[in-house]
Amino acid sequence: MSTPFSTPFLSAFLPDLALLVLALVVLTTEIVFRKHQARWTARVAVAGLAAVLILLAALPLPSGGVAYAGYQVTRSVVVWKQLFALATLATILLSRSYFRNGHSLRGALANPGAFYGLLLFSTTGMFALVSARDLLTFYIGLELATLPLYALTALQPRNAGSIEAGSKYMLMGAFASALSLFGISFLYGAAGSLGFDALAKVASAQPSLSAQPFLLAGVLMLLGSLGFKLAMVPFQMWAPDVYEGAPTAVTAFLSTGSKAAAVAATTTLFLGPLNLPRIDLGAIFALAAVLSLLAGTLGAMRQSNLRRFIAYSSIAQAGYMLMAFTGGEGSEAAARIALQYNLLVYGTASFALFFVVSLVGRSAPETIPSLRGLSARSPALAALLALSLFSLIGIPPLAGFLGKFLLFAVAARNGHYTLIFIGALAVALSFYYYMRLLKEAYQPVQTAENRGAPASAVPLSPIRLSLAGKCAAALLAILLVVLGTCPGMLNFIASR
Amino acid sequence: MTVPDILFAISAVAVALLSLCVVLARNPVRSTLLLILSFLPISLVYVLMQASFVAILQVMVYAGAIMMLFTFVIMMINPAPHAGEIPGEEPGAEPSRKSDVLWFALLALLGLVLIVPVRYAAVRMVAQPVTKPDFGGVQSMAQLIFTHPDHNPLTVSFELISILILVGVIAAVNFGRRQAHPTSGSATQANQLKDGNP
Repeated sequence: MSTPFSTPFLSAFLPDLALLVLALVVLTTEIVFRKHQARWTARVAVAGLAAVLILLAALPLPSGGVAYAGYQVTRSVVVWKQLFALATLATILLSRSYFRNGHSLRGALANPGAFYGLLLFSTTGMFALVSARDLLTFYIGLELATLPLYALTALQPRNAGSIEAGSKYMLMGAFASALSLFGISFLYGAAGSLGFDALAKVASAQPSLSAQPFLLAGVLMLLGSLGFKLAMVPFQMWAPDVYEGAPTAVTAFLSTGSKAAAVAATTTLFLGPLNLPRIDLGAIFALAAVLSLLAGTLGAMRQSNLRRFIAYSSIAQAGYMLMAFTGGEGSEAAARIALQYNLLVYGTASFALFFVVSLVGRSAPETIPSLRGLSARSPALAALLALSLFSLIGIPPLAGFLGKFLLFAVAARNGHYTLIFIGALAVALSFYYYMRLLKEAYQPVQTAENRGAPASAVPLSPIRLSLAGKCAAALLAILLVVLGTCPGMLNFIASR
Repeated sequence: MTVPDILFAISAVAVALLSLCVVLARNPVRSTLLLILSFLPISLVYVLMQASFVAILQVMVYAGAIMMLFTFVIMMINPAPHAGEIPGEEPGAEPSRKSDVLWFALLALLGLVLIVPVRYAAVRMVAQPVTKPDFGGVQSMAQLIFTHPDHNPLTVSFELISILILVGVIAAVNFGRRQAHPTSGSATQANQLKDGNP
């Protein structure tokens, strides 16, 4: 435990404090600027988040990490925080156009201060979640990460779908919260303390399962509550409805930032203090992975709404990521790296997809048929869509391939070959549903003359990108290629 | 069975029944009053667990202050004669008691089934009686939060809770305020001051 306000203490906690201050500042920016409130609030948030990212990357950290009270900062915690900050940054950049009128059929967003403020508070919660050293901090971090998301989902009060999604999400989340509190109280009963150290001691000392029924009950309940956040089967029911109803930028954050936080939380607990060598949690994770893969893959095939499609695809992706928890003893480091790399790659591909969806959604409903003729309207966008979909499937040399390979490798360490076979099968099936999007994008539009039917409602005006849009598209495309071909670069950044 | 056991049984059943009544009550005012009532047996449970400070807070803060606010809000926003009826249901229709009873029986059965594993686990768990003289008092609570010698102090979690509450306030203000036109900045703020802040 380090003393408060010493140099290592400050260098470890400064990014978190800076993020918290930023969230409070962003909340009040609305009052300072009378005109262009949304634009200025976004600018302040982006500048602040960039500063937080620089702080995270530049501040030195002692090799053993720094701990104070229920909070600790280590190397891998810093990597998680960088992932969360990047996801938030991308979400803010994506959301800027939604505050202007006429940029979405669903109506413009209002209240930029609350929107960006809540987003940053959620990120603060994620920071606390991965830094937790006891179950209380962990739980409060989890709540702080998800509570703003309920509000963000319901932030379009004129849109009945948004309100419905928000209430559903909140009710499901409240149930998951109750489940995790119940589980935490059982674990407290078993360990006599909320600290992760004491918990790890009890978890590794028990000779058999029946000696500690409270421990097992607590572990299963916590797993269930994290399953909600992960959208893992059988706790995935909320995902399609919430993804469909939430504002587009919030959906993007749910499927990237929030998913990363859920994976990080599961990693913190189940590759940390609750890594029970004598209880085979790997079997439970493997079962959940198989079910999630099945539900996600089969569900995605039937969708025509893009957001529901993305929701099911993210359920399937959660299934792949759950495979990293089946590695057994000694695979913790490999699993953590596989998950972090995979989340970065999945996040990049998702944001590329959402970028295309947001541009198509300006003039047409966000459905798969609206993508028709995209290659004629904007060849660059269609190429970006193709790159993103190929990466989501996992076609080499794109980044998604290496991500899936790492996950499968972790599962193989423990001999889960059936699981890997099912995973490979799901990849093959995912070809079909991801290619449906691409087929629409590259299909020439049938005009009224050669089809004899009324002209389609999709307007065929070319999509013009602003300079910032062009830069974002180019950056996403470069990232998708470079992350897959030179993953060693990340190693260089992470091991500074 | 000792006296604390009997007291616990009574308060546990009372909490369960009163919470059920909170959900089943058609009238929101009645529901709120039942919620206040249900806090009292909960504080009794806290006393039985030797957490006297939390018990006092439960009565003072929740039953005293927060539920008063609840009642105020409900009385302010719900003056209609048919207040509390669930929209979509026919106004005069008597709610079906049969299904309520069925649900109650089902939940009670579930509770009975759950007793067996919990009892099994509780018997096997080594009971650790509280021996510290000041357990549950104000001083030991403060030590737990700020300077606990054995455990990690809960300072950070304590501060994080305040942020959590702030987020709740922001969300509530945001839903409570009248939706102004997105472009008219000063009107938004005026509405915010008028509607959001009490």
